Amino acid sequence: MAETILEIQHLKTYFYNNGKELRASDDLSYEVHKGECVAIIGESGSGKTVEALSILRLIPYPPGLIMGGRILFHGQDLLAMSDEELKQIRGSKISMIFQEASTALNPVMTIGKQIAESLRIHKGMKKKEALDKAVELLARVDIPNPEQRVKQYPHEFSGGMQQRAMIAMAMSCSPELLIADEPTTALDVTVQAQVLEQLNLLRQESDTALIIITHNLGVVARYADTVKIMYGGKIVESGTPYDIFERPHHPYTIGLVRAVPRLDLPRSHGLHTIPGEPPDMSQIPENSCAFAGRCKYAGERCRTARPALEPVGEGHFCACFHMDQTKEEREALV
Amino acid sequence: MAKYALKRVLLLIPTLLLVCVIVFVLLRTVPGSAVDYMIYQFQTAGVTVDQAQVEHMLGMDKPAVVQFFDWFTGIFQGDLGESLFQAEGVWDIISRQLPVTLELGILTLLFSNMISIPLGIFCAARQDSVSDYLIRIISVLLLSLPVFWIATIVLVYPAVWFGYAPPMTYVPFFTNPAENMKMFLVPALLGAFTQAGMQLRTIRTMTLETMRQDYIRTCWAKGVGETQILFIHALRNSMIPIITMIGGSVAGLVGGSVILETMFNMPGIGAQVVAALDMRDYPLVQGCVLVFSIFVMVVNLIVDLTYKWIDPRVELE
Repeated sequence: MAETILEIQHLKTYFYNNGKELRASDDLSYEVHKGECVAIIGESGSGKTVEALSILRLIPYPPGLIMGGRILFHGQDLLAMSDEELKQIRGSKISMIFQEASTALNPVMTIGKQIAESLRIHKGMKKKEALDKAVELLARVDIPNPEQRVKQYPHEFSGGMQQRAMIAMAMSCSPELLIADEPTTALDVTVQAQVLEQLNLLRQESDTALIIITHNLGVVARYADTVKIMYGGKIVESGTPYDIFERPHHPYTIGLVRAVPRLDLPRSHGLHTIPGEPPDMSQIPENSCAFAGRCKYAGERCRTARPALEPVGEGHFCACFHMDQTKEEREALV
Repeated sequence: MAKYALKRVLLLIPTLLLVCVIVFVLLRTVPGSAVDYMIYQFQTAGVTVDQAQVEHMLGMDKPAVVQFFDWFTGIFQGDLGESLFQAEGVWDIISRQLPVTLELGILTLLFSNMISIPLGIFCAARQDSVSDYLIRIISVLLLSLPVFWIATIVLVYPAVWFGYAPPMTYVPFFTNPAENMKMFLVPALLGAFTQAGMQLRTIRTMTLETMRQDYIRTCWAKGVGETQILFIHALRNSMIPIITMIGGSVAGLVGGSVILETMFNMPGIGAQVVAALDMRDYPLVQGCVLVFSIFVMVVNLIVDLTYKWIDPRVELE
């Protein structure tokens, strides 16, 4: 395995609303290696975005607060750093791409200036030099007429182009780690593929590690080296895409995999769904499995104790008390 | 942009026409006329005059429509008529006294922005801190204290303690800036405090709102410093409502300076208009209202053009 660049240890990010505590990231731990692509999957409200924002301490306070844990980047704890030290890392060593580029770009500043800003801050470039580099970066993400485009404002760009400009901005300082929070959710399918391909290409060129947050299993299958399944602020299963798709152990993962529409099965097969709805996270008791409320295997133990991630294979972990029972369902997956 | 500006300027013409008609009609329907006032003045002087005589003297024996068109055509010849009670042309009075009011207004605006923009942004950046609360309390105090009260304090105490009173004679700024400032600084600051109190709160709220936007989060993620985020990214985005508010207060500054002008004995147009209204000095009131409305319309036009300059998404049409 390549060198570990990011190590998240027992991250706890909680939100406080009307006196209620919501554990959005509940004792989360994982590692990212140099050049690795980690995909984090979970439904809306499972805490995946919070977890990603926590890495760069972008959680709005109030109501969010990082209550515990460590996030080691090359051994340095990002959570213990001064704001000034963290500023040096943000955008240069670790950068981020956000969900909706249309709102994540400053509407009253030209695209060029926004890209140039990172370069001026982190590379100490002069205005002119940084703008020239911005043109070059826009060209690299396949934006036509970059010389003109660089002077335009975000609203003059299409959605796909906005996202590509975001990518250009995030990659401008060749970061070691890129965090992409649902980078393609707001785009239509054909554009999604282009943007992802672009992202992957750039990433491989500069050997950048990627944490990609998504609920698109297709993306995972194609690009990820490691997949983390999140539910209720916790990682419930983690492994290679092969492990996840072919040998899922957690009932939730099995549900997800079965919910992917299949073209090779007869229509009568129907579309599988996971019964119930995502839980109100502030209602999940601390010592329980977050999925217990929707799980057909759930027993007394699931509601009174919290399953830990246990190895079930080489690099494959699952947090469930009933893995033996899911065996049958797992084997039924074709 | 130029085309839009031209269109707006051309649109001023029908608006002004309407203003002329409304002011003319309204003034004459108000109970009590210039004639009554003049007869009253003659009476106090011990002279008996009859109504027809005075009406003829003031040119008010002609039909109202004729009077209107006399006045209206005069405007285009640069003649706003003669004041009924002062032996001076209306335009002479306005051109002498308007600069005083404008200077007071511009200074007030300048000071209030110099106070409210940095402080408003500071409060937003340090939301709920002790200094935020303190500044907000002071701002409520400022905007709730009536300006005539503060002005009285400011006038009386220095006079009692140090025997100091602000100068009583107006010196134009370009003749002697220092002397001019001695007269203007204090009333402009007082006006600015009241303005700033309200502006500060709006700027604070707008900045807080802007700071919650996704693109500000992007800035943090890029490693942009706080000062730059506040003054480069956030300020420009929260500027539109702020500009609207400032535009509105500019219009108010011309008419709203009466109290300060009166208390500080400044020969401004605000106090003049009130006096003219009292005496039903029709031509003078009409002239002043006309000039005010042109001023307000021009300010509005500038505000609208500023929107486009601040926010490239704004379509001027």
